[in-house]
Amino acid sequence: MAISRRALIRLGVGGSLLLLAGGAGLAFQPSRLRAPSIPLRALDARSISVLAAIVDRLLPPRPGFPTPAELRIAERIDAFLADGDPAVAADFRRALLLFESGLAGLVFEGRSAPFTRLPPDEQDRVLHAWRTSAWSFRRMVYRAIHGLCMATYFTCPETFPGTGYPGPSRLGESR
Amino acid sequence: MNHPRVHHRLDEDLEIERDVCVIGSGAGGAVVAAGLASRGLSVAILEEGAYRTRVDFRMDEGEAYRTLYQDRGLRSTTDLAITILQGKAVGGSTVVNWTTCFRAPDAVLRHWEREFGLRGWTPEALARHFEAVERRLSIAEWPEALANPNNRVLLEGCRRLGYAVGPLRRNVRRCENTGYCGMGCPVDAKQAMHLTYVPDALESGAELFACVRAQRIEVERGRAREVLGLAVDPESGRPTGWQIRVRARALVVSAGALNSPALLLRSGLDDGKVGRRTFLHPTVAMAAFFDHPIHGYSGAPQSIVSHHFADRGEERMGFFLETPPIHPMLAATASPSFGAAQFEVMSRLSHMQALIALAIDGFLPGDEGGRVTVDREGRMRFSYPIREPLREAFRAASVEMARIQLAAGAAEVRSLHLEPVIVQSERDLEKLERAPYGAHRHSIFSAHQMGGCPMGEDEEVCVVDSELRHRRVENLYVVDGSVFPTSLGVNPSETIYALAHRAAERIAPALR
Repeated sequence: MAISRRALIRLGVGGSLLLLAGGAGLAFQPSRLRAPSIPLRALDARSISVLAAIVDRLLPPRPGFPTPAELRIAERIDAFLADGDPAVAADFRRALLLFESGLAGLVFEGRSAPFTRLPPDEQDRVLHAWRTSAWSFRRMVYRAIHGLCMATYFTCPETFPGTGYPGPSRLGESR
Repeated sequence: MNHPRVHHRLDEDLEIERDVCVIGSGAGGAVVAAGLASRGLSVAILEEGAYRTRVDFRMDEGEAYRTLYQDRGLRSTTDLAITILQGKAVGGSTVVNWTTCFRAPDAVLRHWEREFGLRGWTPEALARHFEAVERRLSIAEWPEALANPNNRVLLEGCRRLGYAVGPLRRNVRRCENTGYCGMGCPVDAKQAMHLTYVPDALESGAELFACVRAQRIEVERGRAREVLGLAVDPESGRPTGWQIRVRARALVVSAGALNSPALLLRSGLDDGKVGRRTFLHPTVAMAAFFDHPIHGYSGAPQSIVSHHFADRGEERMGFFLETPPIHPMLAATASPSFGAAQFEVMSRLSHMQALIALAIDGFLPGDEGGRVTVDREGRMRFSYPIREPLREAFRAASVEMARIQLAAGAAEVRSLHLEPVIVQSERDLEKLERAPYGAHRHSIFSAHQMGGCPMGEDEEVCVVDSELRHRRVENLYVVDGSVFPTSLGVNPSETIYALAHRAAERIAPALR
């Protein structure tokens, strides 16, 4: 589930080119921005919009489970990143912009629209493409984003009933 | 933890002088500090983590990983391929480990003697050290009858297949089977260092500085003169601006594998050997689903072990099999699916069972494991190439784990590949044979970090000698799992306790 310090920019020429593509690709079409429910501390308006869009597809509405928006998962991740190493937050921001990039999307998936402007089934296709890519770099980025989103969502007590997890034992109350 | 000699945080710069400064308070540091203090030496312990106790352990995965693990739970190899679970607290990884205890296998000690010239590390010579720590930490076999259903799958599956399997030993007293060992024991059953050897050291006069990161050791004319520690915020880990300088007649580095070699490298003690030969017991897992509940989050996380595949001959890497606890965060992050498929997995959490296979790295010719380096800011970086012998071990282990789970009655077995392999019968095992293995092909973990400062008399390889003394700095010792010249082939904590117990005995006379 980890994304380590500066790891995303240490992967040689291929990674660097993709990062450049991510930056340039944003110029194709603006992102669909979402207003965060709290002031941001680590991410910016664009990256948290991308994150929220990804989380929505990683964890789409499901009976018995709260939605990521209800749990403010993107905002929780922003807070987690803000309290840690700034270099990790910077790497994570870059990873999100790669997902968003229209240029990178054109190269790898044949789509020029930013991730946030794609319909849900197209977004799922992009996620699947990153997860199963022949390029290790893309699988790494998928795992890093996936891990942080899953960790944040499934540690929320509101998800426990859906998983059958009893949560912390009552021992805690008597100590 | 209120104790007059525990400093929870620095709020001024300090300069002190002691006989010994011990860096780290985990399995190595706590035991050696207690041993040195009990022999009348003045000891200062520096620990990067905070002093948290059971009242702080909320049985909340998110909070536990953020506050009790290195890098707030995000530690990994630099390519993110291997997730590294390593504790950061007063008590080190013993606060969050799963309590499994083994003595170092005789064959491993013989290998170290033969290949690295290690002297005085025979099973006979170590026996009294093992006995001492076993008494202090209440290490005893966990009755097979108390194995939870998660562990029982390993037991029953192996027995049906004729594989060697049996109960293991744990360092617990009056364990209530809560299942929260990995988040800090909420009932003080686990005999972790913050409850045992750290208080022992304090009672003998040692002083503990928590939330202090050892930044650099100053060396002059072949002697360590002092250590510079930076006070850090317990939540973020960022320096607060205060610092401590400890002058000491001897320095003991016990910051754990990965951090100990990084400290030596930051201190300019790079002789081309430090940080090399770092091993992980790289671990793959297999999830299974049963028709009946497993409740893998409850009960002793590990109570059964199989070393049936530990020795696979001289050309293949061995592995051993255990179980992990199955709490939602670990399960969800290990399972790489998304959308409906991920919810399908997580909705069956209470029926999920899991096995782990820990590869025994460092024994095959040419297997030098990974390498610790530091970046320009002095931060630890760790690379670990996944070569073919390890991929082969992952493949063989995945097949065997699935076979065991099926033999125990699993309705479905699911690999942790990015494209999961689903196995429902023996016929499906060949799908696991064909699946890809390696970096970012599936989840890989490590909870056992070893090596980086190997011990022995082979000057080409070893950073410290058989007495754990640095080869070039006469009053500098390394006392933790970083001195293992290979991995151990069993859970390493008890061997680290014992080597630290031995080290205190050897270091103290030199300071009188």
